[in-house]
Amino acid sequence: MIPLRVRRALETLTHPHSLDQVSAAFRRSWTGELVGTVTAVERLTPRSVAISFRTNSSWPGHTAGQYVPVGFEIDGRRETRTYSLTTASSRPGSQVVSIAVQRVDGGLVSNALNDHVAVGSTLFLGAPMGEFTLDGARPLAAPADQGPTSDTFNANTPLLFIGGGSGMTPIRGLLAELIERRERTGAAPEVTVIAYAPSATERLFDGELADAERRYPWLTVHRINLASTVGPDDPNTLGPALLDCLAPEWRSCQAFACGPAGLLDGAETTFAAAGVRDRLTVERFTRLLPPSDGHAASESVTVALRDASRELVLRTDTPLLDSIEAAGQLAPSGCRNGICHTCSVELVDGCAINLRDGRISEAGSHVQLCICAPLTNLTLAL
Amino acid sequence: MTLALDPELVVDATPAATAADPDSENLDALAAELDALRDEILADIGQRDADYIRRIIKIQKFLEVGGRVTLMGGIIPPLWLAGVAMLGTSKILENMEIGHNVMHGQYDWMRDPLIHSSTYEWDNVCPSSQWKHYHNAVHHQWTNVRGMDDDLGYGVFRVDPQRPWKPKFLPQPLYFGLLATFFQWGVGYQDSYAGRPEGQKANWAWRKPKIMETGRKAGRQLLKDYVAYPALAAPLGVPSALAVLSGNFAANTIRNIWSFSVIFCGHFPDNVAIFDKEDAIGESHGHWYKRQILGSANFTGGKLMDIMSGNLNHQIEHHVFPDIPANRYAEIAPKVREICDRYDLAYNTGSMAKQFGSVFRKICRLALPK
Repeated sequence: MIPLRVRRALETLTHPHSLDQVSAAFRRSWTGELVGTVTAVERLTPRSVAISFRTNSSWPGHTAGQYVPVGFEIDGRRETRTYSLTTASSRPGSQVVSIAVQRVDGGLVSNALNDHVAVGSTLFLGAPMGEFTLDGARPLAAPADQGPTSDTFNANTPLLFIGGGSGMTPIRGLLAELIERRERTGAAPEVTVIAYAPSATERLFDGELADAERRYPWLTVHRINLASTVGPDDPNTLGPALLDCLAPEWRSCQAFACGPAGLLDGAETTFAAAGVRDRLTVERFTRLLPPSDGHAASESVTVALRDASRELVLRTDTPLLDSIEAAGQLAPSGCRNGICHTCSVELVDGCAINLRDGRISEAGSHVQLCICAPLTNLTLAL
Repeated sequence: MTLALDPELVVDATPAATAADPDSENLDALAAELDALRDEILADIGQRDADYIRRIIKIQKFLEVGGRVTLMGGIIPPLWLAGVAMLGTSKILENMEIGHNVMHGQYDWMRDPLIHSSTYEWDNVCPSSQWKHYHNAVHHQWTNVRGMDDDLGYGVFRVDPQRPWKPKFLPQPLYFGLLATFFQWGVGYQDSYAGRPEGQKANWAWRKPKIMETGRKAGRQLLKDYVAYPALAAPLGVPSALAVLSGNFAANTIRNIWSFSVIFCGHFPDNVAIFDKEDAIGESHGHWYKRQILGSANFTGGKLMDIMSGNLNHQIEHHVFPDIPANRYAEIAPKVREICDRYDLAYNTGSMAKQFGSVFRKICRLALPK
């Protein structure tokens, strides 16, 4: 990390280009940006890979269980998705961390990462985020009369990890962290893992879980093969009966659940019914997708202007520039004709459609306000 | 030498096509064809284009670093010349193939914050925001429209025979040379001079922030090239520092003269059309295309000329598709030309010497009263 004063002094010589622009031309990781260089690619299952990468010196460190935005250049365009880090907590600076990417049918990035990443590939990272961590587990909407609940990690509190499919990725991170803490402190709580997957060959980290279970007496792993489409009457679906059987102490555990929506809904219901919803930390992998039936007839959606701290209700058949201005808000504009890109603004969240050619823009891209209309509720960097 | 009056200057006096005009059908068809060509190219944009701009940027940075290091030994004449050549070339690349094109948003689709129109600042005294305002929003929309496009003469030259002659135009061949030598300064202050926002009163108030902004950027540019780098060479002696200073000045001047020459070939050669406001305001999409084609001129050259002119030797293609990566202009030029031929639209091209010569002759000719 180059100290700011030195950076400023050097930028006198590179003006008006930033030091990053100069160094990026030689090696992309030589910048103040968050960049990772892939060090290893390992196939986990036919539908998933584990990607290890070395971060550059800008890495702020992460807490096990967090996720990170990962950008990968596909056909010249940087596409970004978030993935959970599967390794134990890391310090700031150049570190080797990992993610595991499971194919999503028809998904652009998951398939590109499975097929086109190699040692030396560049990954554009964002800052690690998330509270699915051992020390950060917080109750959701704790009842006011319960007072402060003791929810921080305590080596005496047993842990329960419920993972389904790719939901095992942050759980692997938490397990890796527990193993490291065990090495350091000699202490480890009782840990029970319930790992759902469509089949044994598709279960992420199946072999590693088996090895760990053999090695660490405090770890118990239950494997359930279950298709996600199965109904609630199946004896293997998550419920009090199953939990009583596999993890009898579940009501007094600190629990973590991550996976498909159905699994998580079931977990939340079960824990709530037992009055211990505050002991369950849930992480949902959601992504706002554009409607598959194309541009619907005009509706009203909410457009949030992030920088102006305003929310507008706008129509989906009118260009954003016109409707934003009609609402008395200033937006940059130039030719108002789709040519000059002066009105190009970042779409922070949601989807917009280009009225000229029907192209759909998703969060993270820029949209030309004069020719784009909202498709869903969205947020603009305006 | 007598300067013959040139009667061939085409001035489009026909009003813009209206719905009742038989020409409007033709223009709609032209618009549809060019839009389709645009979609075809956009569908193909991808890794190849990303790799191209990155390669150009890499070459530019190598030449810049190489040039500046070589100039440190500039008291040795061959090293001075080599340094100036490298640094001058790097400044030309940065100005034309990289800066101008990136700021047009041509590579915004890459989502690379280091190569994006919203963040890119180019290496001359003109602030990017002012350039984007005047060039992208005004010049490209109102190309060659009298009273709307300041690029028609830059407020200094009489390039339009319909403009009444005044004695102040007599020295314009001299201004031609001066502007060429110090071109970045003209560019730097154009938006303060000509870029009055719509609805803004004609007073000093809107100009001042722009002038200050250009002044601030210019200050840092001057500091870099004429203080900081010479200072780095000072331990080698004052002659070395002066060699760096003069080398940097020479490189900047080379960039100024070259970019001036390329840009002046864009809209001033003989037979390029100039339009009236009434023709352009409220024009159809097809008429906009027609005006861009008739108001622009190309010049010929191979791959090297493409790169060194920032692909502005394909000015017509650039004006028809300003936000398409410029490295594609050469390959779509035959298709654009074919469409122009079918719609009877003059496709103005010739060698750079011929085009530039006709520009200089026009400057000299229109310096005199008609």
